[in-house]
Parts: sequence; structure tokens; C-alpha cells
Amino acid sequence: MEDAPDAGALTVQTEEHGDAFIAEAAKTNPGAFGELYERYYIRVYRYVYHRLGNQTDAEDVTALVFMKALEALSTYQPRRNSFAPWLFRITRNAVIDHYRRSRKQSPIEDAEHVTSGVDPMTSALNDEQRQELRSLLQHLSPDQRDVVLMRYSADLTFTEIASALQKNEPAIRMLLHRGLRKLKTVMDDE
Amino acid sequence: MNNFDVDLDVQSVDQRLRSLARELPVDSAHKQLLRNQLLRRHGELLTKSHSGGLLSRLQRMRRLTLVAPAALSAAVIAGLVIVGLQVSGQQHAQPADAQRLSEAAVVRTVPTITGWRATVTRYRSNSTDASVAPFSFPKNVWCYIAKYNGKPYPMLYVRNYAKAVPTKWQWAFVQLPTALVEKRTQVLSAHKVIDGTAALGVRFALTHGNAVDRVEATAWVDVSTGRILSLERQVFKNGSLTEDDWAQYQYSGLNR
Repeated sequence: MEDAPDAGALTVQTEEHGDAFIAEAAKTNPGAFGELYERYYIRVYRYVYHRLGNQTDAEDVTALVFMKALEALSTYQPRRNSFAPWLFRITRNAVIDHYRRSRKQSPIEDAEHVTSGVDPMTSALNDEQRQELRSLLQHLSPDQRDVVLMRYSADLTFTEIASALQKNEPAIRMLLHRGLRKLKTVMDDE
Repeated sequence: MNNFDVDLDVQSVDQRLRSLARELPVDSAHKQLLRNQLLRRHGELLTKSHSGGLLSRLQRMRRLTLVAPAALSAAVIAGLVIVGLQVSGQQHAQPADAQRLSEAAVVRTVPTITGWRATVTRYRSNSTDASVAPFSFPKNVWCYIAKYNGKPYPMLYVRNYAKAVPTKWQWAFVQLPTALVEKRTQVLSAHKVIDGTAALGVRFALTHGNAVDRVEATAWVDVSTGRILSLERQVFKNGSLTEDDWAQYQYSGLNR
């Protein structure tokens, strides 16, 4: 088991700065990279899952994202980028690449997948919730969908989303606001 | 996330989305496996960073590593190139044969397979209760090329087990890459010729329940391509062989 990064060497004021420090350390410390992985796996996976709609593709693309991040880590500059936007630029591009490659293929049905010991009732409820979210997202424009998923699945702040999507923050807020209003109309009509 | 970031009139939508978007089961085994692969890769990169002569080879492997999962995930896959077989400390191991499956083989384009068929013949205990049932595997097979100790290995993911295929077969196929990475494989001294192709045997143990003593699988690998041509599975109970199954694989399709 690799050694964990020396926590005493890190002086952080915000989680954002902390992640940048850890990312810098991760260039030479596998344990630090492991720490980043633990912090971001579920956020990346959730975003990718809700973009792609099935567990199998989500796991594949999530693996690809972290592999790309690892390979590109030597070029990451913490003073220029916070880590989360940098990672989610990679993530978003990986999803887009996946769409491009799969657009001529028929969708793969995830008829049977590895479960994590979830009972059937909970599994069915989870499926319903995922279906509800999928249905709501279909009412949004691609840009709105992106902002919504980065906000709610990936837990990014407006600043981070703006950096990841290379737009200004007011534009991001407007996209989210309009998206939420549209969804409110949809939900009120149901 | 601050709830006060959204207007009052859409806060109910904000709350609903937050609830829906967060509830998602995660396959913890996949997460842990990926973590292990990444940390190994991290170690390799650190080691290789001072070896400039290997840079071009790494770049080739990086392309293969990064392209293979995404490119193959939605397509029909089964191209498997086994390289650098790990040899355990058994007296009849053959490192020279393993070396023949060199990195050059995996640098070749991983072929796109449009389908594969397996014929399963089963023998139980001492009776030859053979049943030959040709069937096709589903398309949903993914092949990652991961690196371990500087050598690339296929990491095979098989999803959507075909109902016609006994799960135990899929499991043996799936476990081979993991066994390679964890150095639990043994290269056999005996070769086979399967349909005119020389094949190298790779033996490994499978996980099993308490009802049996051990389960062993032997994959017979085409030394020129690394494809698995045949897979044998033997179950031992109370010191006796109780099940002996084998399957042959044929691949069809176009090479990319």
C-alpha cells in the first residue's frame, strides 16, 4: 500500500486550494494521487453516468478519465487551474469522445450488471429515480444539461463550472437559472 | 453547494435535482480495481520518467491504453492480446515462450471482432455427458489494455452474460487478466495445436465455493496473436476430478 501524503506539509484554506496542493504532490507521490481519486471518483462517475445513462459505459469512461488525468498530471499547473475544473474538462471531453465513437452503434442494453448487494426494492427505487432524472434532463438544452449535471452530480461550484466549460460565471448562472425554470414548468405540469 | 444560490421559486426543483443526481450505486469492486491499476501505472510513470529511450514506446502504449476502452466499449470486441505472461515459480514454467508474446504483438492494432462463438463440451465425473452447443457471445465485451510492471495486459470485462452460456465460463474468461496482473498464472511446458495453430497453455485458479476443493482453468493462447483459442475448466472434489469442461473460441470480423 502506497504511503499517504504528508498531511502536515499541506496548509490549506479551502478545499479547492487543498486539491491543487494534492494534485501537485500527486505528480511524484502515488498516495497523493490515490487521495485525489478517492475525492473525485464518485463525482466523476455520477456526472458520466447521468450523461451516458448506463453503468457499463459510465465505468469505462470514468476509468478513461482517471487514466488520462494521470497521464496529463505532469502538465497540470495549480496556479493556472483549480483541480476540479481541470479534471472535469477531461471528463466532459471523454464523454463527448464516447458519443462520437458510439453514435453509429446501437445502444448497449445493460441487462445485467454487477450490483453492490443492493436489495431489489432499493434497486428498483434507484432505477425509478434515475429514470426520472433522465426524463427531466431531456427537456434541457445540451448546455443547460451540462451545467445541471456539473452542479448536482459533480458538485461543482459556479466558479468551477465556468472554468471547466470556459464560460464566464454569469453565463453559467443564467444557464442554470433558465434550466431550473424550464424544469419547474415540466414538473408543475406533471 | 449553497441552496441560496438559486432563486426561491425554483428551490424545489433544486432540491429534487440534488436528490435525484446523488443517489447512485457504485460498484466498489470496479472502483478498487481501477484504483489499483492507476496506482500501478503511476509507479510505472515515475520509473519511466527517467528513461527517455522508452518514451516513444510509452506514447504508443498510451494511445492504445486510452483508445481501447472508449473505442471498444460500444462496439463489438473480443480482440485479446496477451503479452508478457507472468511466470510463477513452477519447475516447468517457460519464460522464453512468454517472451515471444512481446510488446510488439500488443502494439499492433487491436482487432475489432464482430462476433465469437464457443462450443462447450462437458464431461462430468467419469461419464461423458457431452453436449455441444454452438452459440454466440453477446457484443458487450470490453478490452482494456492496462500496464503492469512495464508490460501491457488485457483487462477483459464481460457484461451481460448470455443466458445460453454458463456463467462459470464467463467467469474463467474474466478472471484470466486479473490472474495475469496478480501473477497467479503458470505457463505450461506442453503446447497444443488447435485448428492448426500453436497454442501456449496458461493455467490459473478460479475462485470457488466451499463445496469443492479447487477449480482450475487453462487458457490455450495463440502465441502469434495472444487470442484465447480454448479454455479448459476442471473442478476437483475430495481429491477427484468431478467436472471437466472445455470451450473453443473462433473469432470473426474485420481488423481495424
